Parts: sequence; C-alpha cells; structure tokens
Amino acid sequence: MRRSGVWRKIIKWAVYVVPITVFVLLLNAGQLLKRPMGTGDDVRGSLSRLEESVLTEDWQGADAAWERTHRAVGIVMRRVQVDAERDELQDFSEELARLRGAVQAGERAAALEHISVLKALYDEWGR
Amino acid sequence: MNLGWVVVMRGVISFVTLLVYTNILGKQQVGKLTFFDFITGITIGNLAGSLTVDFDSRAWPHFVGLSVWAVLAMLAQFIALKSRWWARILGGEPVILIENGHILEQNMAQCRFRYDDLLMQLREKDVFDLHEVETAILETSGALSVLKRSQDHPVTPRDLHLPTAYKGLGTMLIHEGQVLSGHLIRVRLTPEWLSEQLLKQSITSPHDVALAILGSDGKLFVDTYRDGVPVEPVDDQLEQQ
Repeated sequence: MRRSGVWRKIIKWAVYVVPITVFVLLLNAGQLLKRPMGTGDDVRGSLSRLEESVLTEDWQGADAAWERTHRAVGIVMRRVQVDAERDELQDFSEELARLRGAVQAGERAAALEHISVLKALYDEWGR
Repeated sequence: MNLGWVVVMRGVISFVTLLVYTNILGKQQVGKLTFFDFITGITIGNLAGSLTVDFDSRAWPHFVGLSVWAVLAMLAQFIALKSRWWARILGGEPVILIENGHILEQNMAQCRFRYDDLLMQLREKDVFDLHEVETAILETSGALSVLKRSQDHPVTPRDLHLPTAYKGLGTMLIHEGQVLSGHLIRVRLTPEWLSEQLLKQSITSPHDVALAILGSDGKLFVDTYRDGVPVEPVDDQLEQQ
C-alpha cells in the first residue's frame, strides 16, 4: 500500500519533470542538430570545399559545391527550425543566394566574402 | 522555414509547459485570485503565446522567461506560506468598509471603492438594506464578506433547539451507466445490494442510470437517462412561464 503511494508520487512528479526536461534539451539542441548526421548534410564541410574551388577559380566545381551546400542547408534548417530565429535563417538563405551570383559571375573576392559571412552566420545558429 | 510546422511544435511545447506550471502553481479559483496572481497569470500566458508565434527571436528565451515567472510565482507562494509579512505584501490585506453599521469613507477611498460598488456587492450577498450590515470586509480577492446584525440572522435549528440528523457528503455509486465498484467497497456495500435498490425503483440495469448517489442518511438518489420529461428549448420554456 505504502509502496504504491510512493510510486504514485514518483509518477506524478515524472509527469511534470520529464516534459520540461525534454523541452529544455530540445530547445538547446541547436549545436548538436547542426552536426552532420548522414551523407549530404555537412554544411560546414560543403562551404569549405566551395571555398577551395573558389580559391583555385574552379567555377564549375564551385557551382556543384554550391548545389551540395544548398541541399545540406535545407536538411539542417528542417532540424533546427523549431528553436531558430526566422531572421537568422532568412539571412543565411539570402547570403547563399548572393554567393551563387558571385560564383556564376566568377567573382573571386565577392564569393570569398559571402563564404566568410555564411560561415559566421552558420556558427551563430542555435547559440 | 516551415512556419506551420514550427507553430505546431512550439504550440505543443508552450501548451504542455503551461499545463505543468499551472498545475504546480496551485488550485486557486479564478474568483479568489489576488491582483498580483491575476497579473502573474496574464504575464505567463502572454509569454506562452509569444513562445508559440514569435519567430523574431529564438524559442529558448521565451521558454526561460516563462519558467522564470513560474518559478518566482512558486517561490513567492512558498514564502507567503511561511511569512505573514510577505503574504501581506503579496496579496494585500483585507480592509473593513463597514464597521458597527457605519461606512468607513476613508477605507473606501483607500481601496478606490465606490458606493455603487459597495451596494452592488452587498446585493450579491442578498443584502438590500444597509441597516442589516454589522461589518463588511473587502477581501484581497476583491470579494466582499458581510456579517449581518445578529437580529437579522436567519433562525437555525440550533436556535430553536431542534434535533437534526447527521448530514455528510454523499458517495457516487453509478456514473453514466458505470457502477463505481471502488466506491461501493468504500461504503461496505455490494453490487447485489445496488441491483436490489435499483429494482425497487423499477430499474433493471445500471446502464439506464445516469447518476446514483448514496446520501449520508442512507437514501439512494437515482437519475435515469429516461426522465419522462419532454425536451423543449430553454427559450420556449421561458416563454411559457
């Protein structure tokens, strides 16, 4: 009888504590969810490869790397969107679009500038 | 960003969080809330709302804000239990508005209470004549407690020295056709006894019973689904009257 009372108390508090703990973890999982979990969702890696292509002025390779980055960003955005700020995601998308323009125009300086901004914006996600 | 999906997710988070916090915060009735409780409730509700639909900032700061308010409210409640001084600061103090049948104008002004408010609250207490009032106290919840003069109190059996039977809480035995076995055991009765009682009232099955309550005097109140009263819209009933 006494044991069932203790269990009832534990369950009652678990009903309160478990959801709050889950929400705290979920809302702070941005840094974790940004990390690559499979193939094609490594945003940081894709940006680095894009940067290498821009540095060697391999514009075809840079365009392909941009496509990969774009796809990876789409995957990661879906994962972090619950806690993310709308503006930071929108800023990232706009900057990515500018980068494509610079890559297509073959503007090395502008492309490097956009890549640098994108890396900084990406690092801020989930902080 | 799929805004619809994010709203659903954030909505679930704020709804469950609010449910947990309000459960922990206590079971005070809305009518009994102090002004501070009321403001705290509005603020917590507002924070839960912005957690759901404000995309200009991350969800986390809203969640923290909501939690801070809930924890501070809990802390304030807990300290109020231990300290009378803090309880007075938090909820204020009851104020006497009528004493020995005299209206205390200074206290009325201090509470920003108008004569119309006083008369209205007295009427709500079934007091239509100020002569009947000995004391009236404005409680911290905004409700008015009224003590009538002794000569205006209704006569009770005790005044007349009349013996009365014990009257306690009843026990529900059937709810919406379902026999509550646990309640039956608690009052040391059996399903057979219940069936017998129902048969006495020409009821063959508990499924026909909407509600059955055993009074402390041993009488069984039974309400069946078939009431034998024609159902008419309330408006029609009022018109007939």
